[in-house]
Amino acid sequence: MNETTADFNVSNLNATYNKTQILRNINLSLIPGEFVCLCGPNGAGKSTLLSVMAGVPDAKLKVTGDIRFIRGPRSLSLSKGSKPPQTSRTIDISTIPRRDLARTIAYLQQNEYSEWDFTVHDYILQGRYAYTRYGHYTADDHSIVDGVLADLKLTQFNKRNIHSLSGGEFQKVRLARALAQTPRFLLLDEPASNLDYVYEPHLMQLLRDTVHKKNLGVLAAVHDINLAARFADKILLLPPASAISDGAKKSVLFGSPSDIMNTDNLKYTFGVEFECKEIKSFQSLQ
Amino acid sequence: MKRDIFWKIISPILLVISVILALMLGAEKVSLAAVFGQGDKFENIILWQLRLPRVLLVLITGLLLGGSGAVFQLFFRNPLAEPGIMGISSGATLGAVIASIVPGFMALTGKGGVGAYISPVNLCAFAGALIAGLFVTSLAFSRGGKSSSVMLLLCGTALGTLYSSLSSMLLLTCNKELHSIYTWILGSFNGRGWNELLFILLPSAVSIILMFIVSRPLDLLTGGEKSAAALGVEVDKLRILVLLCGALAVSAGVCAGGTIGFVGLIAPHIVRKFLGPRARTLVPFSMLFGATLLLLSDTFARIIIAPGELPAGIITSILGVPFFLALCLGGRK
Repeated sequence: MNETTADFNVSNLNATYNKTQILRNINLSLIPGEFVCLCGPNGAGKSTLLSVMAGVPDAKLKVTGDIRFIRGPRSLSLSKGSKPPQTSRTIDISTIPRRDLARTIAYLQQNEYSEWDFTVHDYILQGRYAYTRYGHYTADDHSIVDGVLADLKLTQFNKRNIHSLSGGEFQKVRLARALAQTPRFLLLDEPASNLDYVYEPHLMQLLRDTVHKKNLGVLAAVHDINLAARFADKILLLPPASAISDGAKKSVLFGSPSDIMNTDNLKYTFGVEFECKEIKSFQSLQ
Repeated sequence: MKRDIFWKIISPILLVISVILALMLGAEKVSLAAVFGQGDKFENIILWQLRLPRVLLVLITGLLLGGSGAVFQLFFRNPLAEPGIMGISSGATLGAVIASIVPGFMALTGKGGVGAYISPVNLCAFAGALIAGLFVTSLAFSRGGKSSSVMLLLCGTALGTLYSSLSSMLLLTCNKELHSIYTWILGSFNGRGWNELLFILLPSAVSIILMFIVSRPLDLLTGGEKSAAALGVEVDKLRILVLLCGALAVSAGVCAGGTIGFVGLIAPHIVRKFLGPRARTLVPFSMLFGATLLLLSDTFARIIIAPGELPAGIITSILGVPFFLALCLGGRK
């Protein structure tokens, strides 16, 4: 990957939990318009990596390293008025207020539920909080919510109670709330988990289309490597930190699905033997 | 939508009606005319010296209990939460028990002491609530810098049990008349007046203002603290404000009327049933419902065995529980 075009950079990231190393020397970059799937065995630290990148790690997690995104000239010129500066700025995510972070990065936790029974509209409206003054939502905020509902074909659910939705519908509504943040990057933890065989690829296709249409940079943890290979632009393989303790080996493997999904890489990441077959119908997607 | 507007109009009207009823009814009845300034001298004395301060005190306590219950349920995203769950009410009771047993405190009641203006029992209850609130917070915060809300609820429940046991132990080991402290524990506004009202005015005002400040981001806590933080809420700051407003509300509430439970728990549930879960309506209308419920309970408490009086805390449960259960079991809308 070409470093100069990268927009969201993680460098030399280490994370330990109660003296157990979860993430070891992680380096990665996300660029707009690219749908990256994060794959790795259970316990490799996929969720940890996403929560650290979103700026909401567990309180007991000790994190070192650098996470920055580049704020382009566009948003700077808005604040500086008539004189658009030529250079863009890199911003360390730990130094900015949560409101500013939420306008750039949206994060979807794994299996989140809502305690209270909001309507779909009110729930998605919460994604606009970072843009409001003291939580007063404007007409613009409401119309952005309506736009997101239309994009995801959820308009008929607008007034529905979120507790009355099916698992797949609620997952889409959560995605809608993240999109209502109008972010530049999406960090998704198992967006398609707990969905059936029909809904799972449907949601992945929807994600892929949305990412390309809105030019978002996306990192999504996906436990099903077949699903990831089928829909992702790029694959990021994350082996457990214990497997790379000698330091010489790579801490992540990154590339397009056809390059990266081979038996050697999968054995290195998951620690078990795989058999790779090319399936004709998926060729066009890769 | 139409139903929402109906309930938004009806709840302040209900509150006004309960205020008027509370002013009129009691061991000595006051006419409706007197309430609006047309009464004779005798009625005016009852109204101004006895009824009005007490009604205001009950009103404020109701607002505080209802509002803080709503704020706590939203922040801890737990339908059982109320400030009492942090052990604050039990801390207040312990303070009151110490004040009524230890001889030194009662000496303050003598002329010239603080006790001339406000009873040492209430003063110590206020101190007990504040200390309990600070203690449970610092305990939960001491582990690893940031506190988890679950840890706070666990510590609060455990410490609350400890305070209650200490109170019972103190009461059982001393040979004093237990009646007054007993009614206090059950929650009663008997004999309270302008002094108590002045004393709780400042903490109550601060607490109510804080409730309005915290109410809007509280909606975003519905998916937990991480999700709220990712949506742009400064959760650590919000937690401090929520705890502060809860501690102030309960301290002022117990100072005014002892430990009145249940109002903080049910008022938000009733409002949620009629007006939905959004914090911007839930918090203010829980205040209104809390005040209405407590005013009606206190009025009943005064008239049922007049000229005697029951503790309002008992009536709150007797009136509230059947209503609450009927609502809960009546099926969701």
